[in-house]
Amino acid sequence: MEFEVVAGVGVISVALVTIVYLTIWSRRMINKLAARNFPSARDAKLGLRDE
Amino acid sequence: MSDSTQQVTTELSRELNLFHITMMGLGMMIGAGVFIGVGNVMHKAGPGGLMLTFALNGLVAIFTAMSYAELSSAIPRAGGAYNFARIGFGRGTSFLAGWMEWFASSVAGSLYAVVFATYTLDFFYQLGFLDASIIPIGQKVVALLAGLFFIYINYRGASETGKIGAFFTLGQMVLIVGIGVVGIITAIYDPSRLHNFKPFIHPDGLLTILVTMGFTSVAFEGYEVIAQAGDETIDPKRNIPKAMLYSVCIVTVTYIAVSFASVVSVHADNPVLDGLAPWEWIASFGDTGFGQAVAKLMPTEFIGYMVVALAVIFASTSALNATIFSATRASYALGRDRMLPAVFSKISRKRKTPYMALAFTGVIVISIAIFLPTRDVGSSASIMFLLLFFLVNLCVIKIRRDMGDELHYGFLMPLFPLFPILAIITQGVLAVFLHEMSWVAWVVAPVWIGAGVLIYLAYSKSRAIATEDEILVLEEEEAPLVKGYKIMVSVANPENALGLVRNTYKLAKAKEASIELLHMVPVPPQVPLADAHEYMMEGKEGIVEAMLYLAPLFPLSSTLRYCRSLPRGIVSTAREKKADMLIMGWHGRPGSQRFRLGSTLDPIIERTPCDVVIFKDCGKGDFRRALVPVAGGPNSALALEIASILVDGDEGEVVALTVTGGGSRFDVERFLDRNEVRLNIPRERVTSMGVRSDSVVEAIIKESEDFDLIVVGSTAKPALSRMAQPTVPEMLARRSGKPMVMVRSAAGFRTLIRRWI
Repeated sequence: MEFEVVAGVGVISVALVTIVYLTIWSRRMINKLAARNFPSARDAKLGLRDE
Repeated sequence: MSDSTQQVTTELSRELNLFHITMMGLGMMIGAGVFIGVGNVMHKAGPGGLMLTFALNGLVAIFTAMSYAELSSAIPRAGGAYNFARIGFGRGTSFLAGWMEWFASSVAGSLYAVVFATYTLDFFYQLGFLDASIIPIGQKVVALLAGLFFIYINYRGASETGKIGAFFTLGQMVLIVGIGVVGIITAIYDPSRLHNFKPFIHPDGLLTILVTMGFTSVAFEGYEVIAQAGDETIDPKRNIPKAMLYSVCIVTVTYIAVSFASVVSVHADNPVLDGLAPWEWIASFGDTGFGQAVAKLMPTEFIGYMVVALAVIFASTSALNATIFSATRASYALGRDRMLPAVFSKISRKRKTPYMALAFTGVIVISIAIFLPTRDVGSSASIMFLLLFFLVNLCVIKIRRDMGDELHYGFLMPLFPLFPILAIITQGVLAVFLHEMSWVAWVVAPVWIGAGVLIYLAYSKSRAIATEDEILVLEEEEAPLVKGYKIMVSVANPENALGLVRNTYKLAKAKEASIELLHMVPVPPQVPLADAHEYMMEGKEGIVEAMLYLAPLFPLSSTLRYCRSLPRGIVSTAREKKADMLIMGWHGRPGSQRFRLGSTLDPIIERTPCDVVIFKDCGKGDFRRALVPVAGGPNSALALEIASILVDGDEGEVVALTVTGGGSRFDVERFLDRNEVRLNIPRERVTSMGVRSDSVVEAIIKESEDFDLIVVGSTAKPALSRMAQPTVPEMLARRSGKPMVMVRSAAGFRTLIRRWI
């Protein structure tokens, strides 16, 4: 198979996997922050619960 | 008039759930763009280039979607990019953001109206119900009726908008996903069609993909309409970011599937190709290439044409609906904040929809659909969307830095700020390359932006009302314009004002500086900004006292401002006034688990784009011996300089202390020689001392017994490292009973960045 086909399919696959992974990761983050009552950015990094 | 409007309006009703807003985003994205795009992109980039275009655009879109998701989860209000820009960069930039957003969405809406009209008539033409001669005039009439219909739907209310949009979007998704599935099945049964991907990229090369990415970027901008629905979404902090990310993910997979189906739709042996490669044949149809490809993919051409017609009608309809929604909300937000006349913010008592903003948007959509060449103006909308997203990616960086401690986030992106920076670079490049598709766009866009600037300067600037997040100037007394070093003194407490003044006097004299006195008045969120004057007198006494003392000696100006957040107010004023040094006092009480030196000082030390000097218990102001723990960095050099200024000029002495725990020894004498030029006292009165100890803090506290001042440089570690454990300056500040000065130098790359964002 030609190099440009392999490279092209590879780039498309990486882009798709990245998009899907980031979406799944983000969904988890959203649920996590919602469970912690939407902390500030600083509290989120420190792992503190927002009052 | 505005008062009566305020009495009538309440708030927008929250009726849209996750499904509704995800469908709205998808509806906005899968508009006419992808259908018109397939043939044109294949022509420029080749068959594999088509798939690469959509895959890479999806990647850029998910970066921007994460910026939108983070900002919308923290600031879920109607206005989208307009709101973010107002909070991040202030009124002027935000007006332009809203202005561009209104235009871009309206023009995209008129484009969709025309596409809807074109394909609707074509649908009936294929069935034999229409004569070709009436199609040109019929297109204008149907575009007008479509525009009016969706303006009415938007007037009916948010729930209807969401449900109607969801219905049409579902229809188009079923058809488009069906096309993708048929394409994949076809390739499985006939693998020889995969040879249609030769050559994979157009012979003109890879750069053509940048042109096609710019051209199709408008097909990924659904997160803007989702952001616009912030006031009407149920549980917005959770649902809005999810909807943005889901819609980009779904749409990218769909586009790639449809692209694949288009490429494999025709067998290379098909006589209709007339010697052309399959991709060349599809590309030769330009705007209608997608329709021709799908017609060949389906069992019969008639079914193919009907499927395409129905898909485009559904897609254009839902996109038209979503763009009218988005444009209306953008102009409503401008009216709400009086950037445009108050009439734009009127809300129907019965329907609870912004009917006047909708009416003005409707006029633009219909006028452009009927009278103007829509395709070039539509390209202008693409450029403005790109510039808008560019701005939003800047906003997410600035707002997280400035307000990350105050906002309550429903989503925080990973690897911050990598993704917004990547998106900013890519969007800039794509906007430049877009000129190859339409030079008219690069004329229309600056004209509209220029008109916006004029309107802002002539109307909006003087009329815009304060928002909850703004910092407002209450009183300002400017000194005569003096060039040179500028020291800003934040005076908060009348009791320590004189102590600050004494030390400021020494620093200003040594630096030959002008002085800016600042009093920020934090107003609690529960108190309307209109009543903020109740808090003014608290600090005025201190600033008046300081002025009386310093005014005869130095060029002096003073500013009284109120704000919602003290650190943000002080940092932004230091940046605005281009201060070279910020001086503050500290009460000496340690911070909580969240903050080391307190919720005010921590962000100020981290973000202020100039030297920062913080005094603790330095009221008496007469110092003979100063101890300066040094480690060799820029903060140590500044600490030495400040100490040499604060000690007595005739007899004062500074001792530079190094504490080692058995490791390599820092050459302090060489460091002192190198910084001799910064010293305010003779070099011979600056000596060095080295001690060995396992505990740096204990050693400094022990050695400081013979001194009457400690001057210590702040740590140069990043904020995250400092959160993990207290640093030496912080522990010293907590434990030492001596007068103490903490300094942080403005030298370094991080401060350079802080000056800009």
